[in-house]
Amino acid sequence: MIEPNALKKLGEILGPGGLIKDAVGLTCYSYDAMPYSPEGNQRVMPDAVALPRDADQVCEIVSLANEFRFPIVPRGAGTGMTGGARPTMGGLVLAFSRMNNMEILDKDLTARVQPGVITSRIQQEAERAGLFYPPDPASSEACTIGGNIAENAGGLRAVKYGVTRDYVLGLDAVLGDATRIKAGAKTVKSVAGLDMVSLLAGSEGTLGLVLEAWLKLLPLPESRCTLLALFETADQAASAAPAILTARLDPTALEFMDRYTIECVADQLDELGTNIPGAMLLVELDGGIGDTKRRIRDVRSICTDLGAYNTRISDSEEAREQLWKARKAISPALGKLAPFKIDEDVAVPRSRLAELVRGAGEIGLKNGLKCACYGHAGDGNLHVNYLVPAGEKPAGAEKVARELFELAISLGGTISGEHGIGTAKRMYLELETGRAGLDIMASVKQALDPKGIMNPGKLLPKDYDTMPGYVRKNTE
Amino acid sequence: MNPPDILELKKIVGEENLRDSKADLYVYGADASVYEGKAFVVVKPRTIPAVQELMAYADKNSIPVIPRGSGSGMCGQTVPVKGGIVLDMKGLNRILEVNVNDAYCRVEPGVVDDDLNRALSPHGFFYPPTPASSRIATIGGEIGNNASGTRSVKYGAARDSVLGMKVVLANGDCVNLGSRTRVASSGYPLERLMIGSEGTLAVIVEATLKFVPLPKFRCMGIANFNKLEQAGDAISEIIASGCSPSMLELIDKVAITAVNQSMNLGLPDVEAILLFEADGMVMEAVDFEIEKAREICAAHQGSGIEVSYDAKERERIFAGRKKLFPALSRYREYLASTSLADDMAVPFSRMADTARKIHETADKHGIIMTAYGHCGAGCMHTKILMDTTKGAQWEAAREAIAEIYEHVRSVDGTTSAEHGIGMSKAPAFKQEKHDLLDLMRSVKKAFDPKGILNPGKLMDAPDDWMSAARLRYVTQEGKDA
Ligand SMILES: Cc1cc2nc3c(=O)[nH]c(=O)nc-3n(C[C@H](O)[C@H](O)[C@H](O)COP(=O)(O)OP(=O)(O)OC[C@H]3O[C@@H](n4cnc5c(N)ncnc54)[C@H](O)[C@@H]3O)c2cc1C
Ligand SMILES: Cc1cc2nc3c(=O)[nH]c(=O)nc-3n(C[C@H](O)[C@H](O)[C@H](O)COP(=O)(O)OP(=O)(O)OC[C@H]3O[C@@H](n4cnc5c(N)ncnc54)[C@H](O)[C@@H]3O)c2cc1C
Repeated sequence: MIEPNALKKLGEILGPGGLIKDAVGLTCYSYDAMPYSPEGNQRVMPDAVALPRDADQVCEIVSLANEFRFPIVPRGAGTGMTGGARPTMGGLVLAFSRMNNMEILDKDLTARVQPGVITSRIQQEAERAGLFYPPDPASSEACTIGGNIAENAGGLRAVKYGVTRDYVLGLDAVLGDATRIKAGAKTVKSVAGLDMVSLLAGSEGTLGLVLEAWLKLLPLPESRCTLLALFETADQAASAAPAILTARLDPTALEFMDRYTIECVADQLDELGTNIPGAMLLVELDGGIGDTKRRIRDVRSICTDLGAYNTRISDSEEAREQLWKARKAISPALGKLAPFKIDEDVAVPRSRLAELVRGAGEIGLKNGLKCACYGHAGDGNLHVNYLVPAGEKPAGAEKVARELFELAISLGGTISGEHGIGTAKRMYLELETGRAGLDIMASVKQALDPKGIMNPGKLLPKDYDTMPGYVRKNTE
Repeated sequence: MNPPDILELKKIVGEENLRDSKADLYVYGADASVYEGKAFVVVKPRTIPAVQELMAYADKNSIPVIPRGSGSGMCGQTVPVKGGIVLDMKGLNRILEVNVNDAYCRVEPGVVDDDLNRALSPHGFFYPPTPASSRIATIGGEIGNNASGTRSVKYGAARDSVLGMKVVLANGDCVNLGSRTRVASSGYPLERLMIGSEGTLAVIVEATLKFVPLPKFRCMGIANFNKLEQAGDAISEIIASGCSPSMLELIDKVAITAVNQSMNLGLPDVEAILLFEADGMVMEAVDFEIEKAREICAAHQGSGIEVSYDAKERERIFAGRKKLFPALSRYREYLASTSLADDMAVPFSRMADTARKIHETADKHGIIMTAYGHCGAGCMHTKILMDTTKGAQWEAAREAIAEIYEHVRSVDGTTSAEHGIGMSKAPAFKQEKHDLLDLMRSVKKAFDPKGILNPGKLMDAPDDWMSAARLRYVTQEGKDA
């Protein structure tokens, strides 16, 4: 529990309306978008929720947490899929919703943003200035840039433009030990000694808090064009994806969806008619107008050669948007279908995608669970959903997840493509890094957050947990 | 720190892989910087277990270890300043896998950049960070320095091409960092910390690198500008226009003079020359970009504009830039081209005024300084040409460097664009990153608690570059003394 004395000081730092302590308020901040997972399902209430208005308040809070030893759980929009923003032992949730200013510096092709800015707003304001912020997680309408940086979020355009980390030029941050740093440079090229920006991007709020970021923007591409290709089997679609890449057609997005996934959002896809395909690909290209038109036709002929029975090219803004809206609706739609889905995000070298899809299905079959797969095929990044029938609890989820992760690793892949580790996957991280890998990560954590106040219970497995001097809240 | 036991080391790496003759220690005591130092012994491990055993031994006995590729670093990165073991990584030089379908390769750290590109090109790919020193630079050294080159404006630096790696920690543990996949968010991205760490955190024993398709078309152009500022405006506008040049190089007045004096190229007597290149799979797309660049140059009073797709013509256009480095050594007979304040980066909108500031500052202090570079990425190469036999010239360089770096910081620039920090740029680096040094030191400590890996470099280098290590140059005063 946070000591009353510390709570009082928090109230003073944050001012009226800045500190939430009532039961309803606390409940709202006790969960995120993590579906059912083997670890971390118990709901743990925070002791309090802070809504800071500026970086100075945040820094004061971190000092206070060091002094009084209570956990800080940073939170953006809570759309994280691995439990990153959930309290694991109470403490203070620090939500960045009120730190949401931003500024586009069009001359330098950069943006300055506070952590609570919603990702889609950065995209829109950049576009208004004729510029382009490429990272586009499917949750872009809700998630925050702070959460994106902390998870190193990927998204639909990662295949061409890379992930969030590739766009973070610099950070203003406060570390677990309360030191405030400005890391990174405003230049495109820089050798900066040890690259602290890259370390913080992807550290899930366990090393420090992002207070402000400078993002790299690109000039807006001249035109965009989207292709929808329908296939009889998942195998065909999963094999067409790498073929498009090796043909050097440079897709901006290359998304795969299997039959169950399509079923979930079929009402939003007029193109389908009554016939649900075995799988489909959504491919987007951008660039000069003539160039995109030619390349999209090449993409179409590859798809057709590899078994697509129906294709449709959309270049109007409206038609394209409709397609992407349907794509972005998948995750919530699946959640409705099966509230207790086991939803895992793995990645493999892209040529192994078909093997991954096949293997994931077999694991489902073996364990008596329906398997729905979709994802960023261009990155070999697949979201595998094992749907637990409504009303049932997912017995054996741990086993299913472990089998899937072992499969991904055996294919040369990783247990998390873009959603992070959080609480959900921490018991599996060793599969990928080995013990020595965990040890060195733990020493880095110890160096930046010696008292262990930053987002405890996340990323590193249980046996690395330390939060001395803090009495855990009871779970409910 | 302690000297190693030679017999023990021979047991670990094999007698044939250990050298400690005077000549060897001399060669491995220097790199392309102004410094020299002396190691106790040089070892060249051929296997990962040998590296592990060696590190465990060095750690146990607190012996410094300096990982080294080809030693072409310009800032003293591989100069042994505390004795110890130079770890010559060129014994691990195999290309382990070229995976065309997934566009990645796995290589050992001692592979030379050009050799990797020779292996990739038959498959139609290239590895883009490629520094000008690619004939000798190793992949390990490129990662150590976060190297980049002329094409990085489009394709990025080493940082942008590394997917993952295998490293041996100070305690001898071998761990995999990063991944082979294009996306990953599984645990701390420690591979990122390794890039640019100059051998201070761990020893890279394998790297997984992504590569990109060789473009079908390349077109190069050149434009001359009477005023630096005109070139500067053209640079900003080209970058902001949406065309993505595969190369954008600024050649300044000092460099033009140097080239004209050492080669008979007849470059015009102007303040700045811009070289630009576009590449791609489709000729129309390349045309589009080159035309845009050409128009922008013309709009800013660029003259003598030429563009060409022809390989021979491109070579002719690029000849001056290519030979710039050796040309600078022949600028004037008694002047040496030294790696001092050898590179920096500023936002591209500040290239022109920074170049002017550099020239003015050098003039004021009676030395000569270049300001050419990969301007599309804001990178400036600033060699100092001076009479190294005169102590006063070193003092002048010291003052000029301090002033120039102050300017660089004032325009939000950074101490090094691509060559690294080592010892010669450490003072400026430490000023720029003053609030990060403690943090970097504690991260270093987490990796290397006893501080055996490349000690005395980067954040742990001395505050004065001139006395950081022995200078390779003998001054008149020094001789007299
Ligand atoms: C429908 C749906 C679709 C999704 N699609 C994608 C996708 O395509 N690609 C993808 O990568 N992810 C996707 N996600 C996952 C999620 O949206 C991302 O991980 C996102 O980055 C989380 O942002 P958030 O603001 O919601 O962060 P939260 O969930 O609130 O927090 C995420 C993590 O960041 C930390 N954090 C938040 N703010 C800060 C800060 N200022 N400083 C330090 N740490 C902080 C938290 O402690 C936590 O560990 C999806 C999620 C949903 C629900
Ligand atoms: C003529 C010339 C032109 C140059 N042009 C460029 C240029 O255009 N761009 C550019 O970026 N640089 C340039 N350089 C600088 C230098 O060549 C590059 O940075 C190059 O990448 C260094 O490679 P190397 O193998 O010589 O590394 P080294 O100098 O041997 O080592 C560089 C650093 O990496 C560390 N290191 C080496 N191997 C390992 C390993 N296996 N594990 C851990 N650490 C390791 C070393 O300790 C050292 O700190 C140039 C140098 C010269 C002499």
